[in-house]
Order: sequence, then C-alpha cells, then structure tokens
Amino acid sequence: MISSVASACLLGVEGVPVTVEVHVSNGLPGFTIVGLPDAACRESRDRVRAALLSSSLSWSTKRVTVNLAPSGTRKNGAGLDLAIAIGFLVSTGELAHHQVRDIGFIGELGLDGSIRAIPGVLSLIGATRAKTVIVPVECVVEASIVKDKSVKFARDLAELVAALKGLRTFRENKPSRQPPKFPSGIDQSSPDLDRGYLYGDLDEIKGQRLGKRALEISAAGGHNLLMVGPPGSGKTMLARALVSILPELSFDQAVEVAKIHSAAGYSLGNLGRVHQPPFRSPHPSSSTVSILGGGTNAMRPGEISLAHFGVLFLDEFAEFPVKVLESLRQPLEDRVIRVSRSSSSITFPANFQLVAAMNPCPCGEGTYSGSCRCNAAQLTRYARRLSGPLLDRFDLRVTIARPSPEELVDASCSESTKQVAEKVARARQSQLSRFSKLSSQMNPSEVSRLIKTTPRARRLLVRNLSNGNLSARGLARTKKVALTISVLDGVPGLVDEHHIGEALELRSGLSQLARRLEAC
Amino acid sequence: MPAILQAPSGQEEQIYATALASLAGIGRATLVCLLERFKPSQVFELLRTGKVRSIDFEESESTCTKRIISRIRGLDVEMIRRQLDGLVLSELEGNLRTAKAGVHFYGGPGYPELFARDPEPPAVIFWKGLEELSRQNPDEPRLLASVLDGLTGRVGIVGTRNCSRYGRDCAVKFGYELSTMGISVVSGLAQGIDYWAHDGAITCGDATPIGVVATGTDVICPSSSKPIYDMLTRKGIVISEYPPLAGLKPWHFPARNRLIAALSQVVVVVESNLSGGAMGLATMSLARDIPTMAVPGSIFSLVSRGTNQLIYQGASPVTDTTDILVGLGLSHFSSRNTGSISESQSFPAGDGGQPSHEHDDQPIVLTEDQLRVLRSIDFEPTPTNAILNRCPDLAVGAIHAVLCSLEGLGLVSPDQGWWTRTEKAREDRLPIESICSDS
Repeated sequence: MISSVASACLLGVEGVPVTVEVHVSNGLPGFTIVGLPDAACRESRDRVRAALLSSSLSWSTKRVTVNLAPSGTRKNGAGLDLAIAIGFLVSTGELAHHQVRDIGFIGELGLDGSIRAIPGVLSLIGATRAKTVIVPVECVVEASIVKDKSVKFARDLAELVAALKGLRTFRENKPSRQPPKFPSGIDQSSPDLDRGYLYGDLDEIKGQRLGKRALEISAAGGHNLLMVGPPGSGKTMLARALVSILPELSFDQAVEVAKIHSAAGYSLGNLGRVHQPPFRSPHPSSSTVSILGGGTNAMRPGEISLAHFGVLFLDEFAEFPVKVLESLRQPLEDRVIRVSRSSSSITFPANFQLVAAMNPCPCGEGTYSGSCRCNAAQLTRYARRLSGPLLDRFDLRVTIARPSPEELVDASCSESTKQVAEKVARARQSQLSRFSKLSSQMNPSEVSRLIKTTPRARRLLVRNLSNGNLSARGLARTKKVALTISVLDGVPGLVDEHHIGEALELRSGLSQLARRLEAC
Repeated sequence: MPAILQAPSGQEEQIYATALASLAGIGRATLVCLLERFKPSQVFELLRTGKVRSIDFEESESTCTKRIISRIRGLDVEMIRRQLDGLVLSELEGNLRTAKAGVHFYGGPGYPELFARDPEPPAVIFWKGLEELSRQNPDEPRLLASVLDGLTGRVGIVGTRNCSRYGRDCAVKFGYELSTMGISVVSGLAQGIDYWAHDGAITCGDATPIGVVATGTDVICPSSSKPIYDMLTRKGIVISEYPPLAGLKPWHFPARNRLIAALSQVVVVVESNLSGGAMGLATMSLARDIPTMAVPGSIFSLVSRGTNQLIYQGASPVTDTTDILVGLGLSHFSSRNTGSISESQSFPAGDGGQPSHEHDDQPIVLTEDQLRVLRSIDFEPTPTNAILNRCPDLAVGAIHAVLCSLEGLGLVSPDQGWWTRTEKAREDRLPIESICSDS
C-alpha cells in the first residue's frame, strides 16, 4: 500500500513543502528513508517505531520505504517524524486515506508517542501544501499568528489518531499561559535574556547628554552608532536603552521577526510574536557563521538576521576578529545577507541597526585621560583593526566620557524615556510619510533629490569638504544625519546650517582614529 | 688585503669605514682611538691580521685612555676576522650608493668639527639629504661640515613618543617658529614630540632641519615618520651612526640621543615622563654644558612630570619661542622680562596641519551662545560631555552647532571628542561684549 502525506521542512528561515510517501510491501523486513535526509531525519525511523509501539499502534514486519519528495533537496531536523508515522499508519490501513486528505503534519515524535515542538513552525505551516495543518500543542502560541490555514493541535500520537478517526475532537486553538517549551538541545534561556530584563531604560542613565542625544538621533533615523569611551562610562547602558526609545514593531514586521526567531529555535514569548525590536549582543568570540548565518546542514539565521528590524549591539567592537567585522560591511549596505554553500544558497533578511561600543585604546583610558599606558605602536595596531570602509558605515561616532561625580549624584533628568520615545516615534512617522523610508536607508539619488539644504548649510558643507574634514563619501552620510536632526526639530526636509553643524560634530568624534587609519 | 675592491679612487677609505662601522665586538671608542692614528683601510688590515693587539700606544687624555688600550689588547680578533672575511666590500659600496649615503670617519676629510669636539665622537657617520646641494657638488667631501657650520642655530626638540595634545601643539609651534627664523630643528624622527617638531619645521621650510636616526639612513622606522623623512632628505639632513640597512637595536637609542645632544646648541624637552629617552638626553646635554630647557606642563599630566622635574632642577622653562632664542644667545628679551607673550608669529594651530599664515587683524565677532560655549572650553582638552554640562540650559543640538562654527573660526580644535581652545581664542583677544543673538 502506498500513502502520501504533506509536511514541510526548514531551509534557512523559510519553509520548503515536502511530501512524505510511505510504501509498505512484502519483502525482507526493513525501514529505509530516501530523499536526502540528514542524520536527525534518518534517525526518525527509530523514533517512529518506538512511538507507534508506545501508542498501542501496529508495527509491521514488512518492507517500508519512505520517500521525502522532492528527493533532490536536503531534508533536515526531526520535524518530519509525525508525517512519516501518519503515512505509515495510512499505508498499513490503520487510517483511511480520506481521514488524512488535505491535512499536513508537522512535529517531532518522542519514544512515548508524544509530539514535540520544533523550530520554525510558523514558516513550516505556511509552506505545507494542505488546508489543515496539525502541529504540536506546544506551538500553539506561535501558530496563533497564522491566518490563512486551519491549524489543529495534538499532544501525542494516540490522541491524534483518535481525533483523525473522529473518535474525539481536536484540541482548541487557544494560547496557554505557559510559555512554549523546546527540546533541551535548544537554548531556552537566551531569548529571555535578550528580550526582557536586559533592556535598559534611558531614565536609569545619569548625565550623558551627548550619549543620549546621539541615541535619540540614531533611533529617529535608524543610523548606525559607534560609541568610544573608557570602561565604565556607560556605553553599554546607553546601547541597551536604545530599545526603550524605539517604536514597537508593526504587525508585518513582527511576523517577519517571529519567523526568523522561530527558525533559530527561540521561543516567542507569551504573545507568539516579537513586539519590541529585537536586541542582540553577541560576544566578541562569536564566529563569522554565527554572526552572518549558515552552517553545514541546516542553514541557521545568524545574529544579524536575528536583529532584523532591531538592534545589533557589538560591545567591545575592536575585540571582534577582523574577519567578522569586515563581513558586516556588505549586509549593512544591502540589508540582506546571501549565504552560499555548495549545497544551497539562502538569502536571510538582515535589516538591522548597528550599535558598537569600544575603548579608545588598548588600556581603555584614552590618550587625553592622562593615565593612558599605551605606546604609539599599540595605538596604531588597535586602530588598524577597524578599516576605513567599516568606520565609514557609522553615521554617528561619538566619544563617551565618564560622567562627573556631580552628574552621578544629581537626580534631575533632562528628558524621560517616554518623552524621547514619543519624539522618536513622531520623527519616524514623519520620515515614513514624507519619504516612505528612514533617512539612513536613502540611496544616493534620494539623498540628492529629497534633502533640501539652505545656502548657509551648503556653504558650511563646502568649507568642510575643502579643508578635508569631510570626504565625498562622508557627505551623503552627514546629510542624512542632518535630515534626521531637522525632522526631530520639526522642520522635515529643510536642512539648515545648525543641522549640518551638529551632524558634522557627531560624525567627527573619531577623526583622529580615522586619520591614524589613513596613515597606516 | 682582499682584492675585491674596485672603487673609484678616494672612495675606498669610505667603504672601509663602512665595513668597520658594521662590525660587532668592537666599540665606538675603540674605533675612534684607532682611526685617530690609522686610515680605515689600515685599521681594516690590522684587525684582519690580528696585529691590532700588538700596537704600541701612547696614552693620551682624549681618545686613548688606559681603558681603551686594555680593550684593544683584549679584542676577540678571531671573531672580528670571521666577520671581516664574510664582508663583501663591493656589496657595501653598492649599499652606500643605493642609500645615497655620504660617509665621514673620525679624522677623515669632511668629518664635522661639531662631532670632533664632542667628548664621545662617533667613529663613522652616515648622512643623507640636501639633495639640491649634493647634486651641485657631487664630490665635495666637506659639504656636510660646511652646511653644519653655516647654520644659524641648532635647537634639539625632544620628548616622549606618547605625547599629549598640549605637547604636540608645543612641538609644532616651536618647530614652526624656529624654522621661520632660519634655525634648524634637530630631532630623532621618532613618533610623538620628535614627529611634530619636524612636522612644524617642514611646514615652514626656511631652515635646514636635521634628523638623527637610530637605524641606517635608508631604514625608515617607524614607518609613520615617512613623510617627515622624505622632506628631510630633500631639504634637510638625516644623520646616523649606523651603515645602510642597519636595523634597530635597543642600545642605538641612547647613542642616537647623544648625537642629538652633540648637534644641538640648545635642547628643549617638550614633554617627558620621569624616566625615558628624553630625560637621558637632557642629562647628556647638561654634561656637555649645552643649555637645556623644558616646557612646563600640568602637574597632573604624566608626560609633563619629567619636564617639570627638569625645571625644578634648574632647567629654564620655555613658555615661548623667544625663550629658546635667549638660550641660543640670539635674543636678550625673554618672555619673562617683557611680561607679555610676544605676538611675533602665528603658529599652526589645530591639527598640526597647515598653519594659518594670515594674521588675524579682524576682530572676532561672536554671538552670545558662541561666547558662552567658548568660555566653557579649557585650554586643556575638554571632553564634549563637560562642555554640555557647563551649559545646561542650551540644547545639545545647539551646542553642537556652535562648536562647529567655533571650529570653523579656528577658535577651538577638536580631537577624538575632546576640545581645546586655541591660542587665537585667548581671553584678551576675545571681544568684551558679544553681539547679541544671531546675526
């Protein structure tokens, strides 16, 4: 007997439809899976057998061949377990063909017959070629976003078979209060770490008028921000506070982010999607693949994709391997990352805002602190870690100084998080309605077409271009920042002298570092 | 004598001198003692045959002390012979030609009087530079000596590699202003103060700057000094005790400093830690009775501790270029006597780049905000955050715009987020009343 059941597997963050064909015939007893399964997928043979037996269902001593179509693409993960088990039951006659018609199955089986959650359910449901999709009950929160398909849930195989036979009803589509659980192989702690209490608040930061202003502009225009300062000056706190002043994600953005996070195996919280912009801060020891995405079998999204529509914060920026830093240049421009391996090539979304923090020199104190212990060669070596093109991608480069004792004890706060967040939201709205994109995302033709400057502003630009303060490359970036400042000022579209002035100051914070680089 | 040598006549001795300079196991003082009595080719032969140990010396005050004689007697001739046999003289000659280096040895023609008078004269010196003059007189052996004798004055400007903005500004100012008066700046072509002093000197370009290096004259170390090195070989002089292609050894630095002291009529230490090359140089120059001056600095600055210590010990403080002129004996009016700082020259303010030659005749016109922000900036580097805190009622954006305009006026100079008021923005040059609000 032959049967065919719809399912899907994950390639990058997108689902790929898979048809599971099971053929049971006379012959030497055996169980073969064909169609390029990976190790986890091939092992499903043993899981399926144990699950069937534990659920008091029949296991045959016949020859079983499972084909995962299309046979040419690699299948990975354990998500096809359930479909294989159901296909087997149909082939042996336990279930009738009409009972599984137009139903897709997604889930991993436990040896006791339980159905377990798998990463990327959101994408998988969308990719399955069936009107109804059965998913593990643990994925109820994630699946609640799906609108165009009927999604049903199952806790274990016996219950599912009973429901398919019409002996009982399916579980309801109601999100539970319990956060979804994942198999132990997937890190459960990090999503909470990254989305929750690590978020800072602007109110918690004393003083730092410069840093706060830079954050405000960075948030309003989506500009990449580089903060340079001695240890303990508050760079990390500032970076974490950025999320508190960014507006929440729109529904479409949230779904897109949820897909990526689900595919990477992170839980999506009680609401089933990501409302706040994601904030990712990988450690400097991270590998290039973990930052960009990829992997040998399953292509996994990297940190830059996990930070899609959010913030990628690279603390101790100069401690990252040069190779990792340089590899960020292309995704920063294109806002997607194309990862190619011999077997496949995948495009991950990577529309993130880069925030980096570093010390001014290896000892951390900076040349002007009076206590710097670095010699010139060390400084040169340190500066050489950051290439000119990479530094150029930071629209805002500010020096953060340690707050003075007066600032620390002074309770007064200039602006509350709420006020700044409102300003940022207004500025973003104004940019989107006027230019249909944030100023940092404008291309060169849009910069020259959409940004109107006053004669005085032009004079200032010409002066800085002619005395070498500003490069031709830096000109467009300065104009974009000035546009954001003008929008924050409430005069969108008309960039005046003082807007350009501030943009120049916020860019030139590292002129010496950049010059040292040019001398190398 | 090895028959490898086929140099044009008159050049042979130079090549033998180069060979002697590249030997290990025989020191400068020993070579000077030998060169006082023999030609380089003879010294070469004496060393090769080992006869050097049996020469009879008459003890003398200057070069040939008892210690030197005993050292010559104990020379490891075997090791020296091995080195000499390994040398290919034609190769040395080729090196000299590629490096375009001139060679003078102690007692030879054209050996500068300056060095001969020094208590620790170099045995052999190599030099490069003065391209135009060298081209006009290709075979003039006394070119270097005559140029050195003809200089109006020679001031050594030295200090730490790890200088502060203040030290850098001082070095550029003195380098530039001394050069406009035709006075040569002598320095070590290292990073920091050395670099900036010559940077100031070559932007003016009216004098002959002198660089003393601790490697061969064709080895540029550190590579960041290349622009200065290139200018020096064109307009000035690069001097070294080491033959072409010689690398850097730690003991080269004190020796190099000794040459700087020997070449200078006044030594100015701009910034230095309590220990360091510049302090050693100051000791050497004091031992030679060369006026040694120091630039006073903040008592909180690590790199001014050495200079402040020198002043405490009696070195004259330098607060202006005229102070250096007094040290040179070219002027009698120190800034101290007149009570006000001379306004003779404008010097390159800001990033050590192009100096502004025009005198600021026009009065500075500032808005109220500009004046307020300017007054919140010190003459020492002030972090932006401190400026923002000192003007709490002004918006951050407004302060940034004002800082940009002040920078455009040349009243402040930024670096890595720190701001310094320039000399142009001294309180007595500012308008008493600001013009109110924006024009």
